Amino acid sequence: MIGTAVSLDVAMRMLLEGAKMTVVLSVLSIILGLLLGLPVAIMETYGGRLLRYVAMVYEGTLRGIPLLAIYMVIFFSMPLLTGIGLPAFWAAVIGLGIRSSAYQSQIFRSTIQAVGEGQIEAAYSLGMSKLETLRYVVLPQAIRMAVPAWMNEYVIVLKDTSIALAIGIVELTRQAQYLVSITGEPFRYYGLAAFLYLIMVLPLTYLAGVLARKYGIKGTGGASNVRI
Amino acid sequence: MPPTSESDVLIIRNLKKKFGEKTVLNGVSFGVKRGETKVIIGPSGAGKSTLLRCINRLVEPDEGEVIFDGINVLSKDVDIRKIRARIGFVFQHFNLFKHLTALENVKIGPKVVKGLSDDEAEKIAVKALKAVHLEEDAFEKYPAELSGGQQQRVAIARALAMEPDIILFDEPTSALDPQLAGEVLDVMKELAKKKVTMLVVTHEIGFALNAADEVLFFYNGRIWERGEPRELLYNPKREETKAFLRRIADLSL
Repeated sequence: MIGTAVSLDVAMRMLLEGAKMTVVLSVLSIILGLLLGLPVAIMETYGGRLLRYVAMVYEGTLRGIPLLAIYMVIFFSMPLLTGIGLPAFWAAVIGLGIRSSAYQSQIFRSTIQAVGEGQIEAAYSLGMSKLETLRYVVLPQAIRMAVPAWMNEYVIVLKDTSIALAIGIVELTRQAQYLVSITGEPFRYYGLAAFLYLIMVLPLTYLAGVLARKYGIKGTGGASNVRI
Repeated sequence: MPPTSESDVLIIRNLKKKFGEKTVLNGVSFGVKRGETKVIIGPSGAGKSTLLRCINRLVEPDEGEVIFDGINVLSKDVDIRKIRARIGFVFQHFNLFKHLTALENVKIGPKVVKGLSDDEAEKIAVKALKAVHLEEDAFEKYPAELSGGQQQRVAIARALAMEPDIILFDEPTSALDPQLAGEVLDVMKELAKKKVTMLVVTHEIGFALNAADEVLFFYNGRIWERGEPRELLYNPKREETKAFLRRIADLSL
């Protein structure tokens, strides 16, 4: 088998197939991470002692374990303990998603705190409840301030989808592995895969800048800090 | 004279507050009548800001009473949000909502807290912004694009738009240079003339002289001396008041 030639056309089709899985996996994971991470951040900043503790243990644990180990636990250990096995794809989404939620919670925690006591006191003084203050004053600012860091987190999630090959997900890196094992040409196919990752990531970095300018809050620093 | 008059919109009785070991308010009692402008002066650390924050319970006092329009504010049964909606608060550092334009900053209270429609809230907000003489081309600007004086006037409009029974001012001009402080003080003087009820913590002796009905001198967490502005400021009785006023006068020379 090794040494079989593969036409560039076929190779590219395989790699793009893998890249598609990489994108799908990363998008679902970052969304799951957002849906879990934002509430965790709110628990850490606005929760009572118990909620805060639960949230801290959650994000601290997930940030402290390598993604590969998280995958091993979800895909191999959980079925033994619970009898419920997840399909590899969903195990990959959940593993990457919950790990991202831990990091995203820290992004939002810091931007929530950056809104500052003064504006919160002003909202309370108008008669707003805690929830109204969160909804109308804190979150609109915290979410917008989080855009650059969040885009960065997405880039990390996108690259870390490659670790899902350990539980059998056929994504970009795994496709490159196939091609290498068939052709014995690691330089060409890993190089192509790396190039494809770069092509996906670079526009995102650019997009992060555009979004930061578009959604940045005037006077809170960052690229949008245009003074008149 | 115990402050128990019927016309008092706000009555403070024997208010006490400690932060750790430090006593910040040590038994403060006074009243504010409807339409009155009362000015509180005194050295920093005398408990002036804490007093204002205790009135709408941004800070919980340890002891004493706060009666607002006949309601015991410190009672556990009170929905403090309803009280706060009727008490305006203007902060030293403006504390405008940075993601909202000047107009939106003023609209948000009537909309979110009072549940008014966008149109109604806008009408009230425009009226309030005109009352503080905000230039019309600044209505759609964000706080970071406004001068400090404009920001503070928007903050006053934000308080006015709630149609409060009283507005508390916590050193509203301390973060402004004199020219910008002037435009804020002019607005406050107009409000005093219009008989808007105000309780103002400030170092602006000129404002106290021109606009106040009574001046309270705070010292060591107490009302050390109180009286008519001219009487208290030109002819203080107690040593500490004299020393404080001398220091203020030196600074303004």
